[in-house]
Amino acid sequence: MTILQFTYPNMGQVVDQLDEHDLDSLDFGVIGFDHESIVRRYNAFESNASGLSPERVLGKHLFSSVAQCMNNYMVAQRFEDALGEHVPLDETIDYVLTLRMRPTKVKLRLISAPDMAMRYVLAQWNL
Amino acid sequence: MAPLTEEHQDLLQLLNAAPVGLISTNLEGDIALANAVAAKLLMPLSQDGEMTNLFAVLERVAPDVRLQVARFSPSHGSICNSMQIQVAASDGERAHPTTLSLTVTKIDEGNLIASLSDVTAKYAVQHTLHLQQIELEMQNDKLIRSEQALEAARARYFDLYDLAPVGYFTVNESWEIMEANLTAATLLDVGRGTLVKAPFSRYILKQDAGSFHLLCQRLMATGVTQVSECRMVKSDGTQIWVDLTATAALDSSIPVQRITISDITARKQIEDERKKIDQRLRDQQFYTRSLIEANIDAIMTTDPAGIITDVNRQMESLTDCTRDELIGAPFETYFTDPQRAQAAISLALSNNKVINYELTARTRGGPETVVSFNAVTFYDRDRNLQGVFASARDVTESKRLDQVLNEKNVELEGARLLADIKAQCNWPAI
Repeated sequence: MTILQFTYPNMGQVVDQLDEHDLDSLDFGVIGFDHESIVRRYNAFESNASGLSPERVLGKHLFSSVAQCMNNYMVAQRFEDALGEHVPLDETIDYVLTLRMRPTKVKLRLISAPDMAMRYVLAQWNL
Repeated sequence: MAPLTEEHQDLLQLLNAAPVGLISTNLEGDIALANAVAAKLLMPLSQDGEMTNLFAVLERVAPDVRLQVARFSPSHGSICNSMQIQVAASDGERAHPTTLSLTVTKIDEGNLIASLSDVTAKYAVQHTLHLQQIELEMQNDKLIRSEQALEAARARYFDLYDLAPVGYFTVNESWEIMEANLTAATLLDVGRGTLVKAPFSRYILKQDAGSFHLLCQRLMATGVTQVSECRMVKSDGTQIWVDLTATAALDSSIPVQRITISDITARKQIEDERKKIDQRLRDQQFYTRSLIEANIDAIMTTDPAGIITDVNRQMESLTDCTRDELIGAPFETYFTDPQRAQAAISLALSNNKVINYELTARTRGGPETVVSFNAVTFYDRDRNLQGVFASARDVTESKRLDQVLNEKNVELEGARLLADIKAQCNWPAI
């Protein structure tokens, strides 16, 4: 199986089609959430990096409960704008997340499309 | 990395869900732990995204933190509390300037705990309140200045009202004094308090009370400003003459009368003196005129050019002209020989006098009168020549008697001569 790269084009459609097993095999974090921002997918890499088990994350609101650190104009606002304007979003930004309470430089890929039921935050940790 | 225990995950979630950023560093600022909010708040300050040292991240916006930590010698304690840090917008239109509040506490010889919170909204409110406070203070200053200006204006109006050279009264419809200025009180030599509620007429001299009462009636009936001169009585009984003006007005919708009085006592005294002087002058003129008119001779005065300036009634009779006709006419006009008459005036002017200069006056109808003309020049106080004072005495009868006398003398002389001849010739007496 070809290893899916973080920078792969059309990542939204690709990730959407991956099952949970494939999702857990990726070497970057994946958080999938619906139009109400409820987390529906959470892969093993992200769980390991954040230190939180999927049970603690799935079904929770991403920006108010799971990752308040992304509830800002750089991440949350971008998703809301894309949803409100019915335009696709696929942007990669530099960001800092805390890897088990240690600030860590990461790249976040923000993916959303009007025809997709799920939206994604992909996190490439510089581990 | 090994999975965290449930307890660790609870703790991790708690710390990440905390509404403030929490950072643990050593004394050099190297970050050991930071929660998600701390990472979010510090991220815009980190140029390269590296967030390993707190002092390095804060270097651009709060360089003092490093110094304060270095200078803090106690083993533990608060190093800075609620330090406000302004963070400029960094991501185009999406970003907004933010204000962070930083508190740094030294917990032991080698470690710091920093808490960081976003106080942008609170700061904005404070800033707005501060601006409003400044604006209020400016408005307050403006009000104070306005009040001071009003106070100054009030003081000026007070001076204008109280120290005006005119006495002001405000009286009600019953003509009771409601208000008076200082000048009014001074003019009447009473305290202002004494004037209030007193009838204005109390200060009018009894002899002038009637005319003042009429003035009041006219003002009430017509509403037209009334002016009068009357006498008022001071507290010591002395009188002053005043020029009084009364005007109808409204004071807070209440009908009142404004009365002004000006002290004209001095002017009145001067007028009285002038009247006396004028009377004396008229008496003097009457006396002088009487003397001139009582004279049996015709008397006249001329100016240096011989123009008649004054005459008495005898002169009017002599010339059969009225005083008005004579005054302003040339002197010589009224004599049969104008050249001789003019010569008489010239002689008087050159010799200062003329005595027994015979002239013949003529009337309009023709009768002539021989007069003996006597004249002298007269001067003012400064010895400036004013003209000629002349008298003309009717010598017609004298001339006739002289004629008769002459004729008698001639007859007598003839008779004496005839007697002498008869005596010499022994003629019988006739």
